[in-house]
Amino acid sequence: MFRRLLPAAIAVSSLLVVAVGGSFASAQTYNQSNTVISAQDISDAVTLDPGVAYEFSSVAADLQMYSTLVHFPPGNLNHVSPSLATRWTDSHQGQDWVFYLRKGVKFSNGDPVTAQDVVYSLQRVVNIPNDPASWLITQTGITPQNFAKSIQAAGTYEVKMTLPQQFAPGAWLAILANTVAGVVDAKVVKQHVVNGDWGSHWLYNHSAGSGPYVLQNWTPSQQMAFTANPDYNLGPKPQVKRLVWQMEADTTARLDMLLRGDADLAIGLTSQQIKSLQGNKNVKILRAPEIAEVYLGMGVKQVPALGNPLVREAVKYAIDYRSIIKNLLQGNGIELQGIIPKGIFGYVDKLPYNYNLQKAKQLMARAGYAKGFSATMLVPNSTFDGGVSGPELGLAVAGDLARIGIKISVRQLQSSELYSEYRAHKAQFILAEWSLDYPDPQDFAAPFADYTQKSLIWRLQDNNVQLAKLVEKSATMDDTPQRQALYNQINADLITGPFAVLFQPDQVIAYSTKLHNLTYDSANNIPWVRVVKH
Amino acid sequence: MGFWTYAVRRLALMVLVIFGVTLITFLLTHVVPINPVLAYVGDHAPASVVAHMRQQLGLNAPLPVQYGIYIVNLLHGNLGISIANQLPVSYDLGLYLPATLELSSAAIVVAIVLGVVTGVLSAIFRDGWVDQVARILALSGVSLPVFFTALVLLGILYVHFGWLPGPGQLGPYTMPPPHITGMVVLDSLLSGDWPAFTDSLWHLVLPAFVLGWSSAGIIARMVRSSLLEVLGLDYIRTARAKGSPESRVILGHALRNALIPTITVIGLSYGSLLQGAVLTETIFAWPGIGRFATLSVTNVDVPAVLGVTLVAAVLYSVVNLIVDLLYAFLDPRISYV
Repeated sequence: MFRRLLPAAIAVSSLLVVAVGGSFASAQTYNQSNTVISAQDISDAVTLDPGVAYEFSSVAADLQMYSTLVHFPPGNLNHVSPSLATRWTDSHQGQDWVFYLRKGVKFSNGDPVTAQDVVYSLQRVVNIPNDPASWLITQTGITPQNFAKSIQAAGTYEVKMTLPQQFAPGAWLAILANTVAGVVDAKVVKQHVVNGDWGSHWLYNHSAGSGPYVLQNWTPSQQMAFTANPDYNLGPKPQVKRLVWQMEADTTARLDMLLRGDADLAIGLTSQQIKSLQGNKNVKILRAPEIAEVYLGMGVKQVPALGNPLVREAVKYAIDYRSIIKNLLQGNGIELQGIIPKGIFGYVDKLPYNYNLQKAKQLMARAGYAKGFSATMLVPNSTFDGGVSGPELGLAVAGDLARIGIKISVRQLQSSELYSEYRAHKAQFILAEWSLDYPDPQDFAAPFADYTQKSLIWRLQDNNVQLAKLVEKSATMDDTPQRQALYNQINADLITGPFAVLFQPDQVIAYSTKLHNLTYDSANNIPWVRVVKH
Repeated sequence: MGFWTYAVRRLALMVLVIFGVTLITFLLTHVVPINPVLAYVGDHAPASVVAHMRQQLGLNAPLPVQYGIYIVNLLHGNLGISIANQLPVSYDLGLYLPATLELSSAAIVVAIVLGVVTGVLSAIFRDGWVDQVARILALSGVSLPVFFTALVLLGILYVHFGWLPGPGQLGPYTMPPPHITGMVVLDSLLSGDWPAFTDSLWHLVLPAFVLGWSSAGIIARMVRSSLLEVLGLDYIRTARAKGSPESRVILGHALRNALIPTITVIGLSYGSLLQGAVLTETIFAWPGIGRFATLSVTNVDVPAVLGVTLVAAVLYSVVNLIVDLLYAFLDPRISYV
């Protein structure tokens, strides 16, 4: 009997020894005092390759792991500051650039950051097949074919760029501050290239950057974890040594995690949940404007009435913007009626259409639609920034429009279906959000006002040639008063345009009082390198 | 018909079933009027980028051609490239499937233990209060929606009392074990990471119980009825007449035979669990195949949807086949026809 049991006993003992040994071997370096847990939805992340990532969560992650030539100082999205580049020059109206790199900056494995790394990183972006983020770079005319002429390393610490066409200098710098231009360690990435994929499969869930954090692990739909980069020398070293973004799809569960102390912050709570936290001594609320806008689009050829500028203007006067912000957003947003949000160059501080039911009815009567008309409104079944759901906002707007006789049938759709219909010119009314790609007014003016760009105004089929010319003129200009004057003009011309901008949402983050220096802005997300926990 | 002939015939039928599943899924994913590229590139990408990507991904080809290419690739063991992340679908499945395998296996163990014990007690104390209580438990397991059970139990055991951990496979302060099989409990055991092992096991308790309970009800009812039927047979009367203790009569003689039909139920339950429990996985932030299926359907990621469906069909068919083979193997009176 004993002989029969002996091998089993040895196996079990060995397992226990390994297990106990292992427990010592994996002695925890990270604890509650130096780790921050964030409860949020990270299911949108598709890849962490900085050249490809284009979603909220993956871009937020790459901002922690990669450095760029220039960056926007937290909270200031009007001017870029040096980052990997200490200085730069531009000539020929923003076509020729030279960037001078900071010496001594290291990647997280200790490799130095050189001009070759910068060139390779941008080369990847224009060459990776089916890269959804590449248009940010290729819109300047750079292609795989002309890349070698356009971007070159001139020595170890100098990068020369010659854009194939004129492009606004401010816009180009803003794109270079985007994670799409995040600099990867060329030596490491080249070692992981498989079948000419530019290392994209490997960078999907590995990091090779010089940012303050390094990817520890990413389990899609469950957790992203980052540890402090010991070699980070572009600024003060991160105080928080480990960041964990814990996936939780349900906002109630996110709130529970925060209230139980299992999470240090919760992102994406509803406006009602944020309201319920008022007066909680252990929780603080951070409100920061998103550089984004939620708008009602009107298909000018889909419904005959919407082809009439007076009707479009009537719609804009019929909406109770303040009530939406007060009651649906619980104050998590501000009034915005121009196409360029507050916080970047080009913003126009005017609210031309205050809620005026009488005027709206008069405009409808003048247009010959005193009895109103019927139409369908497409709304996403997701939640907009600011914490209001698409259907909820849709019903509120439909209620407002009913007062001037416009009978709306609200149709809620999955985002991908919504975009399909929108791009196919099938939207009569549509509720949608447009958010920042890079902090330059052109990122908003082009889609909202330039029909030739085949973006938003094209989808609504309002071919306004004059407006398109104004946008084209403003596109290549520096941030001068003349450029501002053009945006003033564009906004004025859009008074009867196919967009009723409803609000500029706030990003609202509920966080533990143990966290300090927590800030948020649309370009930097949360700069975790500055955050302290005690 | 011999065992092997039967097995081969069943495997051949399985191939037909799988072919049918891929065809139906393929057609369904193309019924919806959505451009799958948009789910990948988002709202901002210029129209030219969208058009170029459609062309690159072969989405402009006629449907029969697209399906033909898919089948040819499949026969070469290639499940295609996901539109959502441009990675091989097999890679994504490798990421998500282990979590489901782990959760389903734990859940089926819970279901078997709860179901068999409750079923046996119900049969022994037929129509007594034990039977009534067991019936209520079994019925509630079957009839309460898992999302409701999950939220209530999370609310009580995690939020209110804090006795059990919250969602996820591991606590945020626990370092994940090295990736060996992808199953966190097994990987932490294999790598000797004791803190990760205990933490992952602890995290498994609630979702496994929620899922297991829903299957336990059917198993309990099946055990009860089979056991009652067997207990009325002649050989049991003989065993009792010979003076065998009641425990031996029930556990030694009756239960063994009563469990044979239960195996079918267990097999079917396990097959269903392996297809991924979307709601349970969502609530418990469990990165399983159910979540992957939901994300893929939402994004109309056709290759990924086909991959998930294919894996689910294969798993279900294989479990079914094993059950059938086992059934005939355990009961010599059943022949392979």
